[in-house]
Amino acid sequence: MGTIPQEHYEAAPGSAAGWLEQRLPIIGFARDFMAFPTPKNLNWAWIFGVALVVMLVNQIVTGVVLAMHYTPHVDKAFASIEHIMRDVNGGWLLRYAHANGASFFFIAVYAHIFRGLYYGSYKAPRELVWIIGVVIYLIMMATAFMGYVLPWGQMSFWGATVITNIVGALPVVGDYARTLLWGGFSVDNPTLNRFFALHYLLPFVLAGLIVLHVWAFHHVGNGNPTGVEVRKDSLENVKKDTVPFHPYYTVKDLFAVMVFLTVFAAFVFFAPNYLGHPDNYIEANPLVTPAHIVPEWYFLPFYAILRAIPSQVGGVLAMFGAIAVLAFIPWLDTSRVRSTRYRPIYRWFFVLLALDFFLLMWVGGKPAEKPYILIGQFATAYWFIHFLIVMPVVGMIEKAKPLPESIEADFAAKHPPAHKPEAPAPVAASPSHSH
Amino acid sequence: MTKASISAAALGLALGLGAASAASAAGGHAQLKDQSFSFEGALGHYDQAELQRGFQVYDVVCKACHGLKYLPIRDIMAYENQTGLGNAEGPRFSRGQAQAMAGHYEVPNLEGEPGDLRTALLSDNFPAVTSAGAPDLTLMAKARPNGPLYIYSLLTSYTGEEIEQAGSILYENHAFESGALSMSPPLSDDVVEYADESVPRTVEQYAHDVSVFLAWAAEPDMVARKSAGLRNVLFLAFFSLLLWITNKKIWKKIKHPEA
Repeated sequence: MGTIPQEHYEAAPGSAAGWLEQRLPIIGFARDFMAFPTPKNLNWAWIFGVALVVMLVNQIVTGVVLAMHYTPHVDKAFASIEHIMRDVNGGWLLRYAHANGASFFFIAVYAHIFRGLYYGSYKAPRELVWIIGVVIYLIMMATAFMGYVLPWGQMSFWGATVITNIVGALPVVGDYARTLLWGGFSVDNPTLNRFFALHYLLPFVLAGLIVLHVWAFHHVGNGNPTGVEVRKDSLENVKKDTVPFHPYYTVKDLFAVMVFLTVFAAFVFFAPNYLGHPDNYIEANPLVTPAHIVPEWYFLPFYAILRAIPSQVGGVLAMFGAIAVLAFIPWLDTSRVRSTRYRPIYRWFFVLLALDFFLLMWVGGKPAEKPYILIGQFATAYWFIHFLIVMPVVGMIEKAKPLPESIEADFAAKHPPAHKPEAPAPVAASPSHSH
Repeated sequence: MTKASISAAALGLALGLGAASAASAAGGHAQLKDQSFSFEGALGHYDQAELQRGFQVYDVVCKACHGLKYLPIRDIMAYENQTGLGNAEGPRFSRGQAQAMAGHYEVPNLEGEPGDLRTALLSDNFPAVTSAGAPDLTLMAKARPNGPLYIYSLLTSYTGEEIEQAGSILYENHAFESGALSMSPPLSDDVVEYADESVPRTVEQYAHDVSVFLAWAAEPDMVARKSAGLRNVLFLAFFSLLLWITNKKIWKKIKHPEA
C-alpha cells in the first residue's frame, strides 16, 4: 500500500472472499494495512499515534451520548450539565471522561509532536504527513476551545469572550470574523449554538484528516529513531528492516495505550476536576468578570505568547505565528540527518525548546505582571529563534555522528545475538554514510 | 530519546501540571484553615451523621438566603430499591423524614397563577433563593479551590470587625478573598439544636457539618465514582501487566532469533 514492497493478500480463487476481492478489495486492504511493514526499531516514543486515535474515539463516543442530554441554550446549558451529572445514568462518568479526555488527547498530541521534532519526522518525504498533522492540531485546539464553552460556566463565557476578541483583533478580517463567531454583538445564545454545532462537526473533520495523515505515512513508510529509511530495493531487505504491524505493534501499542488509559482513569475517577477550573462551576454571568481568566492548561503556552507582545494585534499575530511556523520546519531544518540522536549540537537546542515550551506553559498560568511578562517575552523569543534561526543554522554547521548502515544493524546493536558473542553487530561501520 | 531529553520532558510535564494547578488556584489570597474530612482520599466516605446534621444547619440557617437549586430533594432520602429513588451515600433520611423536610420548602406552582407557590414534594429540587442576592450553594464546594475547606474556613474566620463601605456594612473575614464580605456571621453557638446531645453545638461543629453536606450536595455520586475508580484502575493496571507479558513474548523471537 505504498512505496515499501510488501507481500499482498490474495484470496483463494473461487472462494467467497475471492468474489468479493474482485469487486471490492476490502479484505486485501485491511490485511495489507494490518501487515504493513513497520520498522522494527521503533521505541516507546512511537506509541502516541495509536493513543491519539483511541482518545479521538473516546471523545466522539462520550460526546455523542452527552449531546443527547445537553441543551445548547444560555438559560439551560449549565443546568443541563448538572442534569447529566445527577440524573443521567453514568452521566458523571461520561462527562468526566469527556472533559479529562480532552486533556489526555492534548498530552498525547504534545508527546507525538515532540517525538516528531526530535526524530525529524517532518523531513522529506514526510512533509505532508507533518503539515496535515499541524492542521489536525489546529482543528483540535478549535474543537477543544468550543467544547469548553458549552457548559456555560464563568470560564466558558469569559474564555470565549477573550478568544473571540483575539480573533477580532486580526487585521482586515478580524471584525467580520468576530461577528461571524458571535452571531450578534457579544458572546451570547447564537454563539453557544454555533459553537455546539461546530464542536459536533469538527471531530469528524479530524477523523477525515487523520485518514489522510495515516495514508500519507503509509505511502512513504514510518519514520524510525535512526532516521535511516527502510531498504526498499527488495522484499528480502524490507523483511530484515521491518516487522508486520500486527501482531508486533498492535500488542505493543495496546500495552502502551492501556498504561496511558490507567493514568487517564486515575484522573477521571479520583481527580476529575484537577485539570479544570473551579470558576466553571459558577454559571456564566456577563456582569461579573472572574479575577483571572485562565484558559485550559493545553492552551497556556500560546496564551503566554499572546500576552508577551505589548500590542494586541502583535500578540495575536505572534500566537498564530507560533503555530504557523511549525508548518514550515520541513524547509527550515537544513540538516541532512533526520534524527536528533545523531546531532550532538542540535540535541541541546531540542532540550532547550522542550524546556521553553513548559516555561511558556507555566508563564501562561500566571497573572500578567512582573516578572512573568519578561520571562514570557524571553520564552516567546526563543520559540521563534529556535525555528527561524537555530534550525537552519545548526543544520548547516553541525557535523552529524555516523548513522547506522540500516535499521537491521541498529536493531541488532541493541539486541545482540545471544549465542554469538564473537560476532558483535556492525554498528556504524561506515562513518561517511549519509543519505 | 536520550536520557537528558526524557528527564527534561518529565521535568517539563511536572512544571506544566504544576502550572495547571497554579492556574486553578490563582486569585486566592484567602487564608484557609486546616480541617480533615472523612470523604477525602481514594477510599473516603461521607459520614451519615455529619451529613444529616449538615443538612439541618442548611435547613435552619442557610436556606433563608441561599438556594440549592440543582439538588433534588429526594436525594436526601436513603436509596430505595423498589423505586430507584434516593441516594445511597447521602444523608439517608427515611422517606417519612425526607417528606417532612420537603414540607419546609416552597417552590413555584406551575399550575397556578404566575408567582404562586406550593409546598415542595420529594420530586422537586430544592428551591432557588434569589431574594437576598446570595449565591446558590449546590455547587459551592466545587466552585472554589478546596471547596469544602473554603466553606468551613469562611464560616469560622469572621473577626467580629465591621467595615462600612459605600453605605453598606461588610464583615471582616480572613478566608474571603477581599478580606470582608456582606454576609453577616451566619452561625453562632447553640443556634441549631442537634438531637444527639453528645455533639458540641459550636460554630466550628456547625461549619464542619454543613461543609460536609455541601461537599456531598455538589457531587452526590462521589463515593460511587471513587469505588468505581478503584475497580477500573486496578483492572486497567492488571490488564496492562498481561499485555506487557504478551508483548515481551511476542517480540522475543524478533529480538533474540536464536533463542
